[in-house]
Amino acid sequence: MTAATEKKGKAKEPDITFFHPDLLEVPEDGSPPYLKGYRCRQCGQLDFPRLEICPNCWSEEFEMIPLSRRGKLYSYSDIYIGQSGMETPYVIGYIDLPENLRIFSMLEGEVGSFKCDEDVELTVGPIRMNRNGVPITSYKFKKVSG
Amino acid sequence: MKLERDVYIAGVGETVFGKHKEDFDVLGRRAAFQAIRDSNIDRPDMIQSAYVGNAHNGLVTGQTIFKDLGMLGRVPVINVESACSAGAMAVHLAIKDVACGLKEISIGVGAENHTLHRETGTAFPPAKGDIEAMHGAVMTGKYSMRATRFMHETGATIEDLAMVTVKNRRLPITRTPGLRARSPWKKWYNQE
Repeated sequence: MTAATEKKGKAKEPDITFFHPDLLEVPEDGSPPYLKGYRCRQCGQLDFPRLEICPNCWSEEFEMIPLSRRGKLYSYSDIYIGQSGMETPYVIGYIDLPENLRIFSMLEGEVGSFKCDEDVELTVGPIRMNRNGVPITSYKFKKVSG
Repeated sequence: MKLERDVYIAGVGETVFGKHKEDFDVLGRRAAFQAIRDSNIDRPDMIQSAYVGNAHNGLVTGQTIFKDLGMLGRVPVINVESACSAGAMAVHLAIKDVACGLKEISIGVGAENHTLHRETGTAFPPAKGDIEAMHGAVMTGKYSMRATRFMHETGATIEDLAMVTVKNRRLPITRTPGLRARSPWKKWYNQE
Protein backbone atom coordinates (compact mmCIF):
# COMPACT_ATOMS: atom_id res chain seq x y z
CA MET A 1 0.00 0.00 0.00
CA THR A 2 1.43 3.37 -1.01
CA ALA A 3 1.49 6.36 1.28
CA ALA A 4 -1.09 8.07 -0.94
CA THR A 5 -3.73 5.33 -0.63
CA GLU A 6 -3.05 5.06 3.08
CA LYS A 7 -3.83 8.75 3.41
CA LYS A 8 -6.96 8.39 1.32
CA GLY A 9 -8.18 5.59 3.57
CA LYS A 10 -7.73 7.76 6.63
CA ALA A 11 -9.58 10.67 5.05
CA LYS A 12 -12.80 8.63 5.18
CA GLU A 13 -12.80 8.68 8.96
CA PRO A 14 -15.06 11.31 10.58
CA ASP A 15 -13.45 14.73 10.39
CA ILE A 16 -13.59 16.19 13.91
CA THR A 17 -12.79 19.65 12.60
CA PHE A 18 -16.05 19.71 10.59
CA PHE A 19 -18.87 20.53 12.97
CA HIS A 20 -21.80 18.38 11.82
CA PRO A 21 -22.58 16.61 8.53
CA ASP A 22 -26.33 16.77 9.28
CA LEU A 23 -26.24 20.57 9.04
CA LEU A 24 -24.01 21.49 6.15
CA GLU A 25 -22.98 19.85 2.90
CA VAL A 26 -19.78 20.95 1.21
CA PRO A 27 -19.85 19.00 -2.09
CA GLU A 28 -16.55 17.45 -3.09
CA ASP A 29 -17.09 18.46 -6.73
CA GLY A 30 -16.65 22.10 -5.77
CA SER A 31 -20.30 23.09 -6.24
CA PRO A 32 -21.59 25.59 -3.66
CA PRO A 33 -22.15 24.37 -0.09
CA TYR A 34 -25.69 24.25 1.24
CA LEU A 35 -27.54 23.82 4.51
CA LYS A 36 -29.67 20.73 4.87
CA GLY A 37 -33.35 21.12 5.67
CA TYR A 38 -35.47 18.12 6.55
CA ARG A 39 -39.07 17.90 5.34
CA CYS A 40 -41.48 15.67 7.25
CA ARG A 41 -42.93 13.07 4.86
CA GLN A 42 -46.21 13.00 6.79
CA CYS A 43 -47.13 16.66 7.45
CA GLY A 44 -44.69 18.50 5.21
CA GLN A 45 -43.15 20.68 7.91
CA LEU A 46 -39.63 21.78 7.07
CA ASP A 47 -37.07 21.80 9.87
CA PHE A 48 -33.49 22.81 10.42
CA PRO A 49 -31.49 21.29 12.01
CA ARG A 50 -32.28 17.62 11.47
CA LEU A 51 -34.66 16.09 13.98
CA GLU A 52 -35.48 12.48 14.66
CA ILE A 53 -39.12 13.17 15.44
CA CYS A 54 -41.31 15.78 13.75
CA PRO A 55 -42.40 18.20 16.51
CA ASN A 56 -45.61 18.91 14.58
CA CYS A 57 -46.95 15.39 13.96
CA TRP A 58 -44.48 12.99 15.60
CA SER A 59 -43.68 11.28 12.32
CA GLU A 60 -40.19 9.86 12.02
CA GLU A 61 -39.80 9.99 8.24
CA PHE A 62 -37.97 12.91 6.62
CA GLU A 63 -36.44 13.83 3.31
CA MET A 64 -33.43 16.10 3.02
CA ILE A 65 -34.01 19.37 1.16
CA PRO A 66 -31.09 21.68 0.26
CA LEU A 67 -31.92 25.13 1.68
CA SER A 68 -31.54 28.52 0.00
CA ARG A 69 -28.09 30.00 0.22
CA ARG A 70 -29.40 33.53 0.67
CA GLY A 71 -31.56 35.06 3.35
CA LYS A 72 -32.32 38.23 5.29
CA LEU A 73 -30.65 39.10 8.57
CA TYR A 74 -33.49 39.16 11.13
CA SER A 75 -31.27 40.42 13.93
CA TYR A 76 -27.67 40.30 15.09
CA SER A 77 -25.48 40.95 18.12
CA ASP A 78 -21.85 42.05 18.36
CA ILE A 79 -20.40 39.81 21.08
CA TYR A 80 -17.63 41.43 23.11
CA ILE A 81 -18.04 39.18 26.14
CA GLY A 82 -18.36 35.73 24.66
CA GLN A 83 -18.39 32.15 25.71
CA SER A 84 -15.58 30.79 27.78
CA GLY A 85 -12.68 29.94 25.46
CA MET A 86 -13.93 31.88 22.44
CA GLU A 87 -11.96 34.73 20.97
CA THR A 88 -13.86 38.03 20.96
CA PRO A 89 -15.26 40.07 19.41
CA TYR A 90 -17.46 38.02 17.14
CA VAL A 91 -20.90 38.51 15.62
CA ILE A 92 -23.97 36.27 15.80
CA GLY A 93 -27.32 36.61 14.08
CA TYR A 94 -30.60 35.07 13.03
CA ILE A 95 -31.17 34.63 9.29
CA ASP A 96 -34.62 34.31 7.76
CA LEU A 97 -34.56 31.99 4.75
CA PRO A 98 -37.21 32.11 1.99
CA GLU A 99 -38.36 28.66 3.19
CA ASN A 100 -39.76 30.36 6.33
CA LEU A 101 -36.93 29.10 8.51
CA ARG A 102 -35.03 31.29 10.98
CA ILE A 103 -31.50 30.03 11.45
CA PHE A 104 -28.96 30.99 14.07
CA SER A 105 -25.49 31.59 12.69
CA MET A 106 -22.18 33.16 13.39
CA LEU A 107 -21.69 36.07 11.00
CA GLU A 108 -18.53 36.65 9.01
CA GLY A 109 -17.67 40.35 9.03
CA GLU A 110 -16.68 43.23 11.29
CA VAL A 111 -18.48 44.15 14.50
CA GLY A 112 -20.61 47.23 14.01
CA SER A 113 -21.11 46.51 10.31
CA PHE A 114 -24.42 44.62 10.26
CA LYS A 115 -28.01 45.89 9.99
CA CYS A 116 -31.39 44.17 10.36
CA ASP A 117 -32.98 43.03 7.08
CA GLU A 118 -29.70 43.03 5.18
CA ASP A 119 -29.20 40.37 2.51
CA VAL A 120 -26.76 37.71 3.67
CA GLU A 121 -25.46 34.53 2.08
CA LEU A 122 -24.09 31.22 3.24
CA THR A 123 -20.37 30.76 3.62
CA VAL A 124 -18.16 28.20 5.29
CA GLY A 125 -15.53 29.03 7.87
CA PRO A 126 -14.15 28.51 11.36
CA ILE A 127 -16.62 28.94 14.23
CA ARG A 128 -14.30 28.13 17.15
CA MET A 129 -11.26 26.10 18.08
CA ASN A 130 -11.42 22.49 19.20
CA ARG A 131 -9.56 21.22 22.27
CA ASN A 132 -6.37 20.85 20.26
CA GLY A 133 -6.51 24.45 19.06
CA VAL A 134 -7.56 23.44 15.54
CA PRO A 135 -10.38 25.46 13.92
CA ILE A 136 -13.79 23.78 13.69
CA THR A 137 -15.47 24.47 10.36
CA SER A 138 -19.19 25.06 10.02
CA TYR A 139 -21.72 27.23 8.24
CA LYS A 140 -21.64 30.99 8.63
CA PHE A 141 -23.38 33.86 6.90
CA LYS A 142 -21.86 37.02 5.44
CA LYS A 143 -23.11 40.09 3.61
CA VAL A 144 -23.99 39.44 -0.02
CA SER A 145 -20.92 40.54 -1.94
CA GLY A 146 -21.20 43.15 -4.68
CA MET B 1 -55.11 30.99 37.19
CA LYS B 2 -57.49 29.61 39.82
CA LEU B 3 -55.71 28.06 42.79
CA GLU B 4 -57.14 25.14 44.74
CA ARG B 5 -56.77 27.26 47.84
CA ASP B 6 -55.32 30.65 48.74
CA VAL B 7 -51.58 30.92 49.21
CA TYR B 8 -49.93 33.60 51.32
CA ILE B 9 -46.38 34.90 51.21
CA ALA B 10 -45.26 34.50 54.83
CA GLY B 11 -41.87 36.15 54.45
CA VAL B 12 -39.39 37.40 51.86
CA GLY B 13 -35.62 37.72 51.88
CA GLU B 14 -32.98 38.99 49.50
CA THR B 15 -29.26 39.65 49.61
CA VAL B 16 -27.78 42.89 48.31
CA PHE B 17 -26.89 42.72 44.61
CA GLY B 18 -23.14 43.00 44.13
CA LYS B 19 -19.84 41.22 43.63
CA HIS B 20 -19.73 38.91 46.61
CA LYS B 21 -16.93 36.77 47.98
CA GLU B 22 -19.43 34.37 49.53
CA ASP B 23 -20.49 31.46 47.37
CA PHE B 24 -24.01 30.84 46.11
CA ASP B 25 -24.99 28.63 49.05
CA VAL B 26 -24.07 31.27 51.63
CA LEU B 27 -26.08 33.89 49.74
CA GLY B 28 -29.00 31.50 49.24
CA ARG B 29 -29.03 30.55 52.92
CA ARG B 30 -28.95 34.21 53.95
CA ALA B 31 -31.89 35.05 51.72
CA ALA B 32 -33.78 31.97 52.91
CA PHE B 33 -33.16 32.76 56.56
CA GLN B 34 -34.14 36.39 56.05
CA ALA B 35 -37.45 35.14 54.63
CA ILE B 36 -37.86 32.80 57.60
CA ARG B 37 -37.13 35.61 60.09
CA ASP B 38 -39.55 37.82 58.19
CA SER B 39 -42.30 35.25 58.86
CA ASN B 40 -43.64 33.53 61.96
CA ILE B 41 -41.76 30.35 61.10
CA ASP B 42 -39.45 29.65 64.04
CA ARG B 43 -38.47 25.98 63.79
CA PRO B 44 -36.74 23.99 61.00
CA ASP B 45 -39.48 21.34 61.02
CA MET B 46 -42.22 23.82 60.14
CA ILE B 47 -41.17 24.07 56.49
CA GLN B 48 -42.41 21.04 54.58
CA SER B 49 -40.73 21.36 51.20
CA ALA B 50 -37.98 23.42 49.61
CA TYR B 51 -37.21 24.28 45.99
CA VAL B 52 -33.91 25.77 44.85
CA GLY B 53 -33.10 27.34 41.51
CA ASN B 54 -29.45 27.50 40.42
CA ALA B 55 -27.79 27.07 37.05
CA HIS B 56 -24.06 26.77 37.46
CA ASN B 57 -23.09 25.00 40.66
CA GLY B 58 -23.67 21.41 39.72
CA LEU B 59 -25.03 18.77 42.06
CA VAL B 60 -27.10 19.06 45.24
CA THR B 61 -27.22 22.86 45.28
CA GLY B 62 -30.40 23.05 47.35
CA GLN B 63 -29.16 20.47 49.83
CA THR B 64 -25.99 22.57 50.24
CA ILE B 65 -28.10 25.60 51.10
CA PHE B 66 -30.48 23.89 53.50
CA LYS B 67 -28.20 21.44 55.32
CA ASP B 68 -27.00 24.16 57.69
CA LEU B 69 -30.58 25.20 58.43
CA GLY B 70 -31.31 21.76 59.84
CA MET B 71 -33.78 20.88 57.14
CA LEU B 72 -32.12 17.90 55.47
CA GLY B 73 -33.73 14.59 56.23
CA ARG B 74 -36.90 16.40 57.26
CA VAL B 75 -38.17 17.85 54.01
CA PRO B 76 -37.78 17.15 50.32
CA VAL B 77 -35.26 19.59 48.85
CA ILE B 78 -35.81 19.76 45.10
CA ASN B 79 -33.45 21.47 42.69
CA VAL B 80 -34.74 23.15 39.56
CA GLU B 81 -32.93 24.82 36.70
CA SER B 82 -34.21 27.10 33.94
CA ALA B 83 -31.37 29.61 33.48
CA CYS B 84 -32.44 33.18 34.39
CA SER B 85 -35.86 32.07 35.59
CA ALA B 86 -34.66 29.28 37.92
CA GLY B 87 -35.45 31.27 41.08
CA ALA B 88 -38.91 32.23 39.86
CA MET B 89 -39.53 28.58 39.00
CA ALA B 90 -38.50 27.53 42.52
CA VAL B 91 -40.96 30.00 44.04
CA HIS B 92 -43.66 28.84 41.62
CA LEU B 93 -43.23 25.25 42.77
CA ALA B 94 -43.36 26.25 46.43
CA ILE B 95 -46.64 28.08 45.76
CA LYS B 96 -48.00 25.04 43.90
CA ASP B 97 -47.23 22.72 46.84
CA VAL B 98 -49.33 24.91 49.14
CA ALA B 99 -52.04 25.67 46.57
CA CYS B 100 -52.64 21.97 45.96
CA GLY B 101 -52.80 21.21 49.66
CA LEU B 102 -49.78 18.95 49.48
CA LYS B 103 -47.88 21.12 52.00
CA GLU B 104 -48.78 23.85 54.47
CA ILE B 105 -45.47 25.73 54.29
CA SER B 106 -42.98 25.62 51.44
CA ILE B 107 -39.96 27.72 50.51
CA GLY B 108 -38.54 28.66 47.10
CA VAL B 109 -35.04 30.11 46.70
CA GLY B 110 -32.90 31.21 43.79
CA ALA B 111 -29.15 31.51 44.38
CA GLU B 112 -26.19 32.18 42.12
CA ASN B 113 -22.85 33.93 42.38
CA HIS B 114 -21.60 34.80 38.93
CA THR B 115 -18.44 36.44 40.24
CA LEU B 116 -17.18 33.16 41.68
CA HIS B 117 -17.66 30.91 38.67
CA ARG B 118 -14.77 29.50 36.73
CA GLU B 119 -16.42 31.13 33.72
CA THR B 120 -16.40 34.59 35.31
CA GLY B 121 -15.71 37.25 32.72
CA THR B 122 -17.42 35.25 30.01
CA ALA B 123 -21.04 34.94 28.95
CA PHE B 124 -23.16 31.84 29.42
CA PRO B 125 -24.13 29.71 26.45
CA PRO B 126 -27.43 27.83 26.29
CA ALA B 127 -27.18 24.05 26.81
CA LYS B 128 -23.64 22.89 26.18
CA GLY B 129 -23.46 20.92 22.95
CA ASP B 130 -26.44 22.86 21.61
CA ILE B 131 -25.94 23.75 17.94
CA GLU B 132 -26.44 27.46 18.56
CA ALA B 133 -24.02 27.32 21.50
CA MET B 134 -21.43 25.67 19.25
CA HIS B 135 -21.82 28.62 16.87
CA GLY B 136 -21.15 31.17 19.60
CA ALA B 137 -24.59 31.82 21.10
CA VAL B 138 -24.72 33.35 24.57
CA MET B 139 -27.90 34.11 26.50
CA THR B 140 -27.15 37.84 26.69
CA GLY B 141 -26.51 37.89 22.94
CA LYS B 142 -29.93 36.41 22.26
CA TYR B 143 -31.63 39.06 24.41
CA SER B 144 -29.56 41.66 22.60
CA MET B 145 -30.79 40.39 19.22
CA ARG B 146 -34.36 40.67 20.44
CA ALA B 147 -33.77 44.26 21.55
CA THR B 148 -32.00 45.13 18.29
CA ARG B 149 -34.91 43.79 16.23
CA PHE B 150 -37.40 45.64 18.44
CA MET B 151 -35.54 48.92 17.88
CA HIS B 152 -35.36 48.20 14.14
CA GLU B 153 -39.09 47.56 13.85
CA THR B 154 -40.38 50.30 16.11
CA GLY B 155 -37.80 53.07 15.88
CA ALA B 156 -37.22 52.83 19.64
CA THR B 157 -33.81 53.92 20.92
CA ILE B 158 -31.46 52.53 23.56
CA GLU B 159 -32.58 55.41 25.79
CA ASP B 160 -36.18 54.22 25.42
CA LEU B 161 -35.18 50.74 26.60
CA ALA B 162 -33.24 52.24 29.52
CA MET B 163 -36.45 53.93 30.66
CA VAL B 164 -37.89 50.48 31.39
CA THR B 165 -35.36 49.88 34.12
CA VAL B 166 -35.84 53.40 35.42
CA LYS B 167 -39.58 52.77 35.65
CA ASN B 168 -39.07 49.34 37.27
CA ARG B 169 -36.84 50.77 39.96
CA ARG B 170 -39.51 53.30 40.84
CA LEU B 171 -42.16 50.65 41.38
CA PRO B 172 -42.79 49.84 45.06
CA ILE B 173 -42.58 46.10 44.39
CA THR B 174 -38.91 46.30 43.40
CA ARG B 175 -37.95 48.59 46.25
CA THR B 176 -36.52 45.84 48.33
CA PRO B 177 -33.67 46.82 50.66
CA GLY B 178 -31.21 44.81 48.53
CA LEU B 179 -31.91 46.74 45.38
CA ARG B 180 -32.26 50.04 47.12
CA ALA B 181 -28.81 49.91 48.72
CA ARG B 182 -26.90 49.69 45.45
CA SER B 183 -29.22 51.32 43.00
CA PRO B 184 -27.87 54.19 40.95
CA TRP B 185 -31.41 55.54 41.29
CA LYS B 186 -31.11 55.84 45.08
CA LYS B 187 -31.96 59.52 44.94
CA TRP B 188 -35.27 58.64 43.29
CA TYR B 189 -36.25 56.53 46.27
CA ASN B 190 -35.22 59.27 48.64
CA GLN B 191 -37.48 61.76 46.90
CA GLU B 192 -40.52 60.18 48.48
